[in-house]
Formats: sequence, C-alpha cells, structure tokens
Amino acid sequence: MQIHTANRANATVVQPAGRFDAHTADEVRAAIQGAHHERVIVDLGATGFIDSTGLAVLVGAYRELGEAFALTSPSPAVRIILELTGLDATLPVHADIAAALAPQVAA
Amino acid sequence: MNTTVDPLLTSALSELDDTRRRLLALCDLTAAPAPTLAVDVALERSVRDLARLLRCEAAYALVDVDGTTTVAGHPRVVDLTSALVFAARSGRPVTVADGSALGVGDGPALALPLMAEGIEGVIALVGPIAGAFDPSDHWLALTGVGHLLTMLETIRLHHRTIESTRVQAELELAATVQERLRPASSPRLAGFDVATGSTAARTVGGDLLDHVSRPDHLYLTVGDVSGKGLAAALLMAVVQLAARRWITDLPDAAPATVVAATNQETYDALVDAQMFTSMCIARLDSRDRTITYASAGQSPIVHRSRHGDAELLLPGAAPLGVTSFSAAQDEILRLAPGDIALFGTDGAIDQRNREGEAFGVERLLALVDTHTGTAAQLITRIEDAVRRFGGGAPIDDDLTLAVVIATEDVA
Repeated sequence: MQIHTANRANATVVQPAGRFDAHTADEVRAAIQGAHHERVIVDLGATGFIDSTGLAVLVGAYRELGEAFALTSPSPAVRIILELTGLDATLPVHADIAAALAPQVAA
Repeated sequence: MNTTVDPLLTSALSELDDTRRRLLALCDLTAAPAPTLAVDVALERSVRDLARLLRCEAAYALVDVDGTTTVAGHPRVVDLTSALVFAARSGRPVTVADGSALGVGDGPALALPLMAEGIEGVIALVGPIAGAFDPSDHWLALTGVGHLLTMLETIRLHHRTIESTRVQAELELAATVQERLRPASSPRLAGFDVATGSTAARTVGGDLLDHVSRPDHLYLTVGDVSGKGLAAALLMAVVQLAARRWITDLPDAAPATVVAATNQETYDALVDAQMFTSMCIARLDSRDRTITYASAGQSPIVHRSRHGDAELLLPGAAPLGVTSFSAAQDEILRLAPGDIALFGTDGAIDQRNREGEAFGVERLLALVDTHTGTAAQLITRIEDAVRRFGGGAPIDDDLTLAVVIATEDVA
C-alpha cells in the first residue's frame, strides 16, 4: 500500500492506495493522527480492498474527529463494504474531495 | 641434594603450565551452550573464562537481551556504559592504551562489541599481565566472544520457545472458554427448522453466536467483532454476555431495544479497544411464523421465499461502538413454510481463493436458491463450498452461520 498525504487550505487529505487491511491499518492510522489540519478527509478512490481492521481505523477517526472527518469517492469494492456494514449511514461519505471541502468553505 | 634446575627448563615448564591453564579456559568457554542457563550466569562464567584465557586482571560485560540488561564482572562489576557506546560506534574490537576512556581503569584495555538479533552489548578486557594485548589475544578474544554470542542466542531462543508455548496454551484455554460460551446445540422452536455453526479462523475467534429460548419464541444473536485474535475474542464475550443479559432481563424485548442497550453498555470498551462489532438480533415467533430482527452493521441477511429468488437484506444501521446511540430498527419477515433466512454471511462472502477472488454474494445466493434440504444441511453445504473455494487452506475469516427454515408445524 502507498499512502499519499496532501494539505489543502483547511484540510489534510489522506489517500491510501491498495489494500487497507490488518497489515496496513497502522500506517493509515498514523497518517490520520499526524494530519496537519484538524479537518481530515480520507480519499478511498484508490483503495481496492478494505477489511474490518481498516474499517475500525475509519470508525476510530470518526469517533475522534466527529464532523471534522470525512470519506470521499470510495471505490466500488469499498462502497459495497460500507453498505454491507451499514457504515454508509453513519460515516460522512462525499462524492469527491471538492464536495467534502465545500461545507467547510461555506462555513 | 642438588636442587638447581636449569632456568630454561623452569621457563619452559612455566609456559607449559600457562598454556595448559589457557587451554582449560578455552575449553570452559567453548563448552556446549546450555539453553536452560540464565543470562547472568552465562555472562559471569564467560567473563571469568575470558579473563583466564587472555591472562588479564579483569573482564567486564554489559549485555541487553530483548530489552533486559545484564552486567557481569571479574573480579568485580563496573559501569560499562561508556564502553558500550564506544564499542557500538566502532562496531569491531578496539584496543586502547588507557582504559579510562572506557570507564574501566587506566591500563590497556580491549573492547569487543556483541551484536546479534535482539542482543547488544560489550565485553571489556583490562590489564593484560604481559603488559599489552597482542594480535593472537585479539583472535582468542573474538573466538570467546563468538561463542558467548552463540550461547546467548541459544538461551534467547529457548526463552522465546517457552514463552510461545505458554501463549499457545493460554490461547487454547481461551478457545475452550469461548467454546463454552457458545450454545452446545442448535435451538428448537415449533414452526422453524433452525441450525447454527461457527468455525474460528484462528485458535480463538471474534464471531458471536448465541440463542435464548422463550415460550413460543427464540432469540438468535450473531455478531462479528472487527479484527481477530485474543482481543476480538475478549470483546466478543463482553458483547455476547451484555446482549444475553438484556434479552433475559427485558421480557419479550424488541430486538432493536436489545441492540441499543447492548451498544450503550459496551460502547466505551469498544472505543478503548479501537474496535467495533456488528450484531444482528432476531426474534423468531412460532405463533405467527415471523422473524423480527434488528441489524447493526451485521452482514446482510439472505432471505429466500419458497417461490422466489434469494435476496439480500442490508443492515439499516452502523455497527455497535460507532456511535453512542444505535439507530438499528426492528424489521419483520413473515415466513411461509419452505422460506429460508440465513444470518451471518460475511465469513463466506469475504473468503478469497488463490487468485484473490472473493467467494462473493452471487455464489452464496445460488447455494440458498438451490437448497431443498434441512437447515443443518444448508450450513454444511455453505461451509464445504467456502472451504473448496479457498483451495482447502484454512479459512480467511471466522465463519458463523445461522439458518432458519419455516416449517409446516406451528405452536
């Protein structure tokens, strides 16, 4: 897995590419915890697979950051997992990074 | 009597005696390593033998094995911190004319680093009786230190083997406890043929399977703690006991109420462990052949009516531990004889084959669509299909299934 982190005007965007599972969960968690901004967006567009340990990292970040946390553009495989686990009903999921940033900009 | 002995002979005898002593020291130093020896005892013996072998006034050691530091010295112990830094920097044996640089006195000294996986340290030999260390002393010292490293590695491996055996024994005990938390047999309720089965991917599992029987109805609970191993198994027990108690304490409780109460009770423990757990509680009622269920993130239920195709029923709420209040709602399935409901499907859906392809939903739906036998037979068919798909290798995830088939008989 490769993790790309980028700082936007008011948010840090973490992009895990590849398998987000028990072997890589700690790296993603560290990237989220080390974010430059309080607002963190995890872009799942290049995440080909996620297991329950990966989901636990996203849930942990949501518990920690609340509304300052968002997910964007989940790949089809990840979107299915979010739906199957009912997490799409709770975690804020946006179509793309611009959409995730928009409410914050408006505020 | 003439007691005068040729000085050359005296010198030769003395050298022979010295050589004999050094050979004995070398024998002691290179004796077969005993894995049961304590590190401090091994170190004390080696330091003493090195001092004999190199014919020096003192020898000291400081060794860190897996984070535990041990010191030894002959004839006494000194602080070797400076020598350790010195040896670590050089990475090879170093002779100094003034041992004060190493903190071991002011005579000639030889510092030898000890480096191996999980082992770091230094040996310092001080005050050679001959006045200085020569090249052959270096060679002898390296031989002795090499053997000491082998001994320390043997002891370390032995301790790790013991620790590994102890952990495995504890895991097996945990597996036994977990097994006893599960119902000993599938439940029975008029109007339904019910079967359950659970296989852990590791020694202990994070899946939850339980049932509580009441007159005319039955509560069936399946769940899956995120992650695997002992932590997941412990949390599984916490969640299972909480759910069971709410079912027992609240007469005729709605499944959504039990899910919400269980979430509230276990939320902090799940947050602390950085985990969450999916859970579905189903109440089977034999009076009207209905299933009322509430699913918090639990893998979809497969429902097949006798005259239709199998379909997936997705959970309506997030798993327990995600938010402090669960939004799970009660849903009702009205079954006719022959209808099937399958709970706990993630272990099957997520199983991968050697090419990395998932077993998936379609294969599971096809198994349910074509099933004409009993609930227990459907569980066996799914388990066999999942194992075959995985190429006979151990399953990827805990596989827990509960099958309900409506029957003609009613209460």
